[in-house]
Amino acid sequence: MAEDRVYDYVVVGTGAGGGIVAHQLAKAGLDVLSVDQGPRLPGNYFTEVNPPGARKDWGIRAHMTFPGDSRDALFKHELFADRENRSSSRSSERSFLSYQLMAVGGLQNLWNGVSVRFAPEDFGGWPVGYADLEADYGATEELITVCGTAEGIPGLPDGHYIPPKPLRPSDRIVMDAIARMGRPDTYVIPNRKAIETRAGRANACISTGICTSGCMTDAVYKFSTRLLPEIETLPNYELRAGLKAVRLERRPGGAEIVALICRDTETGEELRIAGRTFILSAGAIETPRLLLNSRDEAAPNGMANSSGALGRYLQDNAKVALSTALLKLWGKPAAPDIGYGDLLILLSKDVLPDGSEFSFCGHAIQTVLDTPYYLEGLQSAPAVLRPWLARKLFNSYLTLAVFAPGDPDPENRLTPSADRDRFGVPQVDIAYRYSERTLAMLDKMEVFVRQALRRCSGTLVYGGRDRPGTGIHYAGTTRMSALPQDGVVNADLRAHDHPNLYLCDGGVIPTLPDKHLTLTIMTLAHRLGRHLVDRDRAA
Amino acid sequence: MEPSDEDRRRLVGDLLQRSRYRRGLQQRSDEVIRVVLANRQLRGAVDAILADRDYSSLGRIDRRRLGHQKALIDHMLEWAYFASDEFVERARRG
Repeated sequence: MAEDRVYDYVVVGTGAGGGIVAHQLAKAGLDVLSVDQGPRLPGNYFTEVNPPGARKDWGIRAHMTFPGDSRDALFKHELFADRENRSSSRSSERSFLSYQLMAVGGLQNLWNGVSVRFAPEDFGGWPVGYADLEADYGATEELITVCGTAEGIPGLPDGHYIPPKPLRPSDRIVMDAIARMGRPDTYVIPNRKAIETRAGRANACISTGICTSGCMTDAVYKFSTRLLPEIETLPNYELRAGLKAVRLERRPGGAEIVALICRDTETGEELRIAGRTFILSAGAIETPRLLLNSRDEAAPNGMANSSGALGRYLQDNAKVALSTALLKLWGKPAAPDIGYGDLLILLSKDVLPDGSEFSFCGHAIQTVLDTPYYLEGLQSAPAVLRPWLARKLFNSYLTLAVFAPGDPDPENRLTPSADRDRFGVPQVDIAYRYSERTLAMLDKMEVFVRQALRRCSGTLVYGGRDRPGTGIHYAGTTRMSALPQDGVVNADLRAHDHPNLYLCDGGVIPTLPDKHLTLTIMTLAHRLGRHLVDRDRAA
Repeated sequence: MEPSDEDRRRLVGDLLQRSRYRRGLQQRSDEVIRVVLANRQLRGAVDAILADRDYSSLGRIDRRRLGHQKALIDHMLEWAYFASDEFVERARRG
């Protein structure tokens, strides 16, 4: 069904990029439609329907494998898209686990909130540099509210912060231990997270210990609770949830995009939405899938793909996560304010066997163990001793998780698949492997984390390196480039091949550094919104 | 024959009464039973016990044949105790 109305801006996706750019455009009075495949979650989703941790049914949900393991809390949330709903094919799981969340707000519904700036040296190979983004970084931090402290570290530029939560004894132990390691270029500082920490605010953090199972008070930024309420009553803004973008349609014989073809996820009805400018912000897996599925006679390999780079250079932060119980904290009470789990961020460098240097970034996590995955580790103790042992160890568990930089390899890529999702839309196959360099970095990082935990008085250490895709920092598949032959979008995020098509998600990041990418996606979105508003006013 | 929900509830209730964590969970027995029966895997363990000839005729759980199923339900009871607000509050005091 074709609609008569022609929107000035059609934004696909309401996650990190789509939310910010839609807000910018709508606040400036421009005519904007946002579409999202998923529903809008009910207001009580994270308080009653599916609260984090063991707050409902002791964490034993109907379809979970019991008892599971602690990684389930991160990777088995019911909001993650299943095989029938997600962008990638079943066979892709062999090489890359892709996590998507089909609801308004996207992955930010389960976001940990880490919001760090990339450093000037992280922009090597980009057509824009730190100076181009600096003002937008600041504006974005103020828009989403980031807590943290200014530290003057060259590799981690300071931003605009509200105060963080106070450090806990475990944080002091980690800071002291890593300082005693005496490594150059190594810093451990209060984490920078998009969390409202100021007491007295309606959405202030209530210190539940961790953010990745959803926030009960909406203290962690996400579009649906922070920015959407500001624009959803405006006459020039409309959000349509439950509308899956299927393909783009271009003007016959031209490069201009004229419509987005969608499918209503409830009725299955196909809709044609006409627009003047299109912004795809559906994520680094879904956006290239949409472009690959938009192929036509003039572009048999997909739209925006004259360079052949579409879907290539897929990156994620390979990571090592190790946990232990700290002897120094055995039998100690919990900190008065457990905060948001990972109160520290660390930054370090190491040298690979070939003599090249790399940096890595990570966090120290201590949380409330309300979901007792640790019971598996206590099974060898007599049952009568387990409650006593559990109380002794309860406040001593610590996890250090560190991320390696991405490795832009054109063979790590998405290609059209023969598989289809439940709406009949072709999925993508993902080919991905860690390079020798990434494996060497993981080795070095694991040595570092083991040494650090030992210095912290760590006891039995468990965990290790995670599988590709579990960093959930997807990038590179619609890369930004100065020249059309090298990438998909230009420095303004406009597709090289199409004058009215913009892309704005992790896919545009050509080289993923070790640092969390979400703030940079949001900053690029802020810059894009500003650019489009200026363009509109000038016109 | 498919066991009735009444049979399932009775079995979980019996296991709870015999559990070392019964004191901590007794007041919440209805909730425990509901959670066990809502979970596919745990409910499957309950059904396997109910379908066993020894249990249906003698009310006895044969450890050799049903040890895994019984251990799974016992483990859930232990889990529920350790995940309870009361235990977590006590543990946070050290």
